Amino acid sequence: MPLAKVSGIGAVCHAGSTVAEVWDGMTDAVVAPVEIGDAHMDGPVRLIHLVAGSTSERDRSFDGPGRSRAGRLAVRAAAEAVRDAGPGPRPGRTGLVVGSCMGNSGESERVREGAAEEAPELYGIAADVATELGLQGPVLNVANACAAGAYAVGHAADLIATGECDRVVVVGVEAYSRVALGCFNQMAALDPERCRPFAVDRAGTAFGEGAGALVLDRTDGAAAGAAGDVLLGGAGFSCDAGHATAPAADGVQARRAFSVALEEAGLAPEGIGLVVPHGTGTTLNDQVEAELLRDLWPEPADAPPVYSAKALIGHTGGGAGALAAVMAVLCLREGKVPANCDVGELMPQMTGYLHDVPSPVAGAAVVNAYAFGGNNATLVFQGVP
Amino acid sequence: MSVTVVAHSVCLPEDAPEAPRIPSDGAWFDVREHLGRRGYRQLPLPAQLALAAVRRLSPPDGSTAESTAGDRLGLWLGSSTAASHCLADLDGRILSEGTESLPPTGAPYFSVNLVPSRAANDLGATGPSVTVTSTGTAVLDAIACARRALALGRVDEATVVAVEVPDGGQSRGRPTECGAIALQLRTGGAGGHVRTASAFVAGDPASAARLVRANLEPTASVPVLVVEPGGSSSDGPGPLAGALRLVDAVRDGDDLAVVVADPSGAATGVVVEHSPVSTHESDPVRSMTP
Repeated sequence: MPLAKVSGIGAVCHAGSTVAEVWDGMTDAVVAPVEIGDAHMDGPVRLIHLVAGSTSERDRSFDGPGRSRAGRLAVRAAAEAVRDAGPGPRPGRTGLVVGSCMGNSGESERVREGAAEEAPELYGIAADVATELGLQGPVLNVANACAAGAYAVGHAADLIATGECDRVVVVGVEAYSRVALGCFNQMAALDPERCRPFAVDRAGTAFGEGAGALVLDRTDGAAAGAAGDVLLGGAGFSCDAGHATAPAADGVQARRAFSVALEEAGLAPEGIGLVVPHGTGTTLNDQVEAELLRDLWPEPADAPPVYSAKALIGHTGGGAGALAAVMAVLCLREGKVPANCDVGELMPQMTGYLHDVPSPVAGAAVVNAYAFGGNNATLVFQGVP
Repeated sequence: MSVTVVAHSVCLPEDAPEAPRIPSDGAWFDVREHLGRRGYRQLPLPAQLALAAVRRLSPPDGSTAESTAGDRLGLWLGSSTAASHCLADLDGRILSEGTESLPPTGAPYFSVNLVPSRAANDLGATGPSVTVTSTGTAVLDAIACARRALALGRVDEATVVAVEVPDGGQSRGRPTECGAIALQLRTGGAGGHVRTASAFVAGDPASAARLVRANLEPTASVPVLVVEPGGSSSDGPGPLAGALRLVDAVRDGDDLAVVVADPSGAATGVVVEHSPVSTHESDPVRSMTP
């Protein structure tokens, strides 16, 4: 039985300010990261994939409810997802899970540099979204770093499964943060060119900003799954319990999260029609994930298409898992996946797996999201034919 | 499915007077005393406190806890302030000395989920490691999240670590607390049975708390403690104080419900009940808000 029905999606990111624009952006595959304007960030790599239509990491080009840039992104994506989903249960049966690691850090940074007098609470985004949408169910924030959006999806499914909610709005969101960019610079984990997952000469990741939102509804057993619906079939989570920042080289726990999600969805690898990997462009992450995929599908001809979201929108941190999920749902709705952005020569293990032309999606869509601390998440979405 | 507290611990000043029992800063915490002389001094305070609390976990009756396979053991951090604490420190260094001044050991902690992951490393916990940071209610939200995972069979055992620390001035009138509490939860068995509920009423914590209390459905005689941090006084008790009362109740075999209601309008409650019939007074509602 599926965990939930994906009744609505919303998105704002480098590829577009609405879901329709994001699909067009995926199709066009135009990538244009810019230098941040923050004069207090002295690290050597200063790139960011801004949200579409924005000219700087602190401009007001996308206005609306919310007390911060991240809050406005989150409200915008969540409102679009709720419109897409249509009428839902009463407010007390509707919950909200926000996945964000840096929260409103950007506003606090402006206060510290003397550019603002007051900042909203670090994780006040959830209250902003819940207030704007009039929700009265459980409202919380999970901060599992770059996998926060995927953890939020998983926890939303738990809220439905326990009977506490009939509908849960999920938002993964991240905006510019000087601290995050500074720490990644200090760790030499940034690519000065752009985000180039699985490229043979990748040099690190490149940040993006954005929000992805999903509305998950309770399914009613056999009644679930009308033609065209997309269902959340499974979710798996694990922790390497090892190094602080590097993924475990053997990928054992990442594979286990993958297996748990597939088992929950009742799927074998042959049933997978699309993989949206975590694929950050950092050396070890892409190595470990490539080996995971190669073990499942040793020959590229037998493998489902792999779509590299971060090559298009950058690494959106806590937003990444949710935005990848939105893209996966879009591909299931459309029945195809656009061509990958060109990242140059691919690492040998992934040659043939990332298509440079649009491909049909024949099967379920899998989303991987990994994070510092060895946090691993895999989500499975299934389209109903 | 019933979820039970099988072990608990606190990392707080042992010689603190009865009230307040939660200090407002970390001056009392000696990392070498709590964690040993080597390997922990460079960790940020929230990680040190979390580790110290996890290492003190012990069953209420003093027995030795059974071990759970790592893949079936999950770890949940609840903290409204750990991230702010770490980010304020790191940003201060960037502003004053530049990114090159960021300490190699401390810099990754801009990612607050390293706090539970470091503790998961200690425990060998390779199940989910989840970081809950909701404003004001994170401590009880983490208990609620862990309870859901247990009830759904995602894990067999959940360690919940509640950590609050000074947050670099971002608390906006909420009380400052500094300490850690850990709970170990399992399904079934004897002990304090845990149920949880959450609600949101924009800008109206009192109404949210009423909804939570109604949804919790505690036995009529179970005392209900409502914590409204920052409601009308910045010096009032906070979420960690509420969690400490739950630990006291588990330790003493008492029944208790605690509801934390944040000024934003988010509220979460946890009830611990040892038996269907409570021994408490008939008028159970007390408020910790002055």
